[in-house]
Amino acid sequence: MSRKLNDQQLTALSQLIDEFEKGVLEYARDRHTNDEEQRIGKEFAKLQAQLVNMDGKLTGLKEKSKVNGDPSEQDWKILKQMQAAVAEFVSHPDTNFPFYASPDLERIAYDTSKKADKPQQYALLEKINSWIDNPLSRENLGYLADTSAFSAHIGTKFPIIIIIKIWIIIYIQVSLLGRERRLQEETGNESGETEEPKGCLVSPFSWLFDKKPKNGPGLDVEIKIIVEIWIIIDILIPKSSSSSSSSSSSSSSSSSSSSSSSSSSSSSSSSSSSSSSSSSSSSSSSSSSSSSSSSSSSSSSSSSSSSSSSSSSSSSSSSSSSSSSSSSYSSSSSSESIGIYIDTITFNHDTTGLNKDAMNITIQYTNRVEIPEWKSGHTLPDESPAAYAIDETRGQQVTVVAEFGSLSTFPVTVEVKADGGGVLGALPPEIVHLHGGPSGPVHFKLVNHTIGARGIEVQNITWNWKWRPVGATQWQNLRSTNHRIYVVLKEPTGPWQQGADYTQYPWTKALDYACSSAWAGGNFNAPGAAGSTTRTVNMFSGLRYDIARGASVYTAGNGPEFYLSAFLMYLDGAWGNGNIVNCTDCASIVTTFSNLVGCDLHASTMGKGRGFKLTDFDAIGPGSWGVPFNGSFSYHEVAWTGAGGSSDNIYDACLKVDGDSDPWNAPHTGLLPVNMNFTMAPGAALPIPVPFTLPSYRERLCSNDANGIGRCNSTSTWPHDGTGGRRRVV
Amino acid sequence: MSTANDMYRNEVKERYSFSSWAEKSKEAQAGPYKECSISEEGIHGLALLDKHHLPRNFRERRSQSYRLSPKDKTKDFEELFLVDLQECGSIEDAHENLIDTLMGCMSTRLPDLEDDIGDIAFGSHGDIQTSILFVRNNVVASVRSIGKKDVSVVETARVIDTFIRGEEFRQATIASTY
Repeated sequence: MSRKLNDQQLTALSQLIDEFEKGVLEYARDRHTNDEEQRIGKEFAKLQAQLVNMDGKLTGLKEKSKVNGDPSEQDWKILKQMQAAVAEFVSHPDTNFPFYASPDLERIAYDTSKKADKPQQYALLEKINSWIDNPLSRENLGYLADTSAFSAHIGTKFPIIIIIKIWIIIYIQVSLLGRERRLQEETGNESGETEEPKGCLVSPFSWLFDKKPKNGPGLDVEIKIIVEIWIIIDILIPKSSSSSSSSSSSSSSSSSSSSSSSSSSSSSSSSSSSSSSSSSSSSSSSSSSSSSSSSSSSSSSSSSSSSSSSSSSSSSSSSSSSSSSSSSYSSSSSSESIGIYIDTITFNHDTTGLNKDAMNITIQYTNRVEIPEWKSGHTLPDESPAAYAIDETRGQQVTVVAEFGSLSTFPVTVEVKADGGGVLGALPPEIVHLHGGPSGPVHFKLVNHTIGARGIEVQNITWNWKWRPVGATQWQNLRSTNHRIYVVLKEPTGPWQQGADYTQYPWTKALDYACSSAWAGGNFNAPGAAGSTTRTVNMFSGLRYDIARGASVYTAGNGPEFYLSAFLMYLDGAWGNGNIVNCTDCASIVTTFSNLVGCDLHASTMGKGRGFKLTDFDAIGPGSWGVPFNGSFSYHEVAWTGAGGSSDNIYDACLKVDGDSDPWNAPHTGLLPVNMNFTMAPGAALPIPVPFTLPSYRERLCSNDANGIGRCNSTSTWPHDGTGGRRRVV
Repeated sequence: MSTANDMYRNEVKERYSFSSWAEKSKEAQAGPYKECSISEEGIHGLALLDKHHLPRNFRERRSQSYRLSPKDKTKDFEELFLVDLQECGSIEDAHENLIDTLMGCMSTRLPDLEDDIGDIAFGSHGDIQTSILFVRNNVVASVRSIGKKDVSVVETARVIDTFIRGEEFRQATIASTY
């Protein structure tokens, strides 16, 4: 029983190092050779080497534990906390500065030493933290992370501080264990004072630089040095910079392979030493030892081992089964250096259609969305946008395409899946073949998507990618990726297009608004979406009517363009062309934003010619009922359905008409014209008698006479715009 | 061009007594102004916040929109002016362009501006002149208050008018002529 606890503890620590090292490998894969990057590269190499030293320390501890017994229950709890902390780090959806995003992680680090009631260690932890905060302060690290050199080197995601801090945690805990072992050892040997300060923390490097510990790793030293050299080479030499470096990388992989096998032999030797005690623990030890040499796959076996703590036999059986899969995997893939990573994710992999993938989109005008939408270095959802059309994707097999890579030069076959995914759902496992380079495109079916379930929407999603060797049972965290997904009713209509002019692809900057719940989000059909958009523009956009001139600021009046960039500036709070608008602006805004989510409106006019007399209305913005410009409009423009004829419906965000049974006299009841028939009383004798109850727009806008209703007829779009009332967005 | 729009154009011309001022300019002898562009330094106490090109029609050689603000009030958008300058090929074209712009106003008739700004100028409804539309020679200028506070644009329009008539444009004209 006590033996099992010890194995679990060591296994947990092995897994901790494993996962951490895997993270380092992944993020260190993009390497360059200028001075600054080399310096950072050396930092990584140093950390890597230290991690390997930790392995050596563990091996030593394990051997000692066979002799000296088990660590305390308290230490086991601490290790579990460490394990949880690192698991949180590894799987945290915000891989960008997870320490900042997860203060709990730091707290755990402190609490670990506090709860352990070891003031010496706590003091040292504080001291080390103080050291971190000065020469490698967060500000400095933040600066480094912002520089392109650092970004290129570590993909902007893996700040040194995290590595250092996690290492420190491990350092302290291992040292703690080392100290206890030594104390136990010393006590057992009754040798009294020794040459080494046993009461203090022992450097994990002591086995390398100091006198060889009595029960130290022995032959392992040479093996570890080889592993260190290999890792330093692997860190410093860019993988694909040249053929020579690639051959060097290859040879380093070979040495890694040999080190791996050497490590195996070392573990088998430790196994054999333990086999005298227990054969079941021997197999478990073997597993953890293999894991100690930073085998990701064996960390899964470690995990299964540590998770099954209640039954010794079940623990060892699960451990050994994982171990067998891991060993077959190791033999083909040099598991410690597999370093699988996601290279790209492509949502719009067929730019000629939108049935089976995302549609063509752009950020804003000439600022394009690059395909693949997600690449290493993208951290924020809006850096990886994609838009889907409900109608076109309904009943279709929609896919995303991802490409993977590996730091290993050995051919490897793994399974990859992604949990989470919000509206796009979790991605079922797919086989990924890695041959020391890019995997090539791997199609993941969106079999769990809920596109359309909530109508129009915009959603930031996170995929938590996981992988495992083929045949293994345990999934391992790969990384998380963030994306912004837009869902619209169907392919956006003019001015938006999917054709050659990419400036008129749906703009994500506009989709951010159009798909939000404050605009058309949550609607399942075009009238609902256009209605919501009209209400938002009229009531919540802060716009007000231009009573000075009635002129447009977001179009050239009767011209062919809608200044959407300026309007987005306004919506973003940068004021743009201001908040004083006319009917042409309102019609263009409603048309453009509604069509963006799949409606089919166009801005069209009425009453052009001699103008027409008005009845009181409530213009957009704060104000009261009345009529501007001496009671007449020169023309009026609204968002129109169909062909813009008398029997077609309109959406007018510019004003509210009187919706009661006497629209030509006070009191007035505000009615926003949403999907309202232009006229339901064409050719009616004037004046129209009250009560007038028809939901008929023209009659409620104009004076009840020949100069009002009599002159207000649909007069089509502006001839100059050449866009059919769907002004180009600029 | 559609008949309805021809009718509308004629209607607008009639409303604004087009025939009484068409093709006339106080600066006709100067020839058409060219390179009518506000520089990054701004203009007479007004800072240039940004500018962008407007779509040109067949009468225009250059069409730009500027956002200007008093130099000491550029941060809060309290006082902000939108200035559109359409540089046309001729005085006649500029006047036709002015009609285009007037056609895009929902007001049936903008008030005449009783001032010496431009060859022909129209103001706005209300107590404050928050909008002025004028033509100087071959340049159509629209000056609007678009800030959070409604302010008169008379002085700004005067600055723009002076700018249009500036010596640099005459020199540019002479240089391009010879």
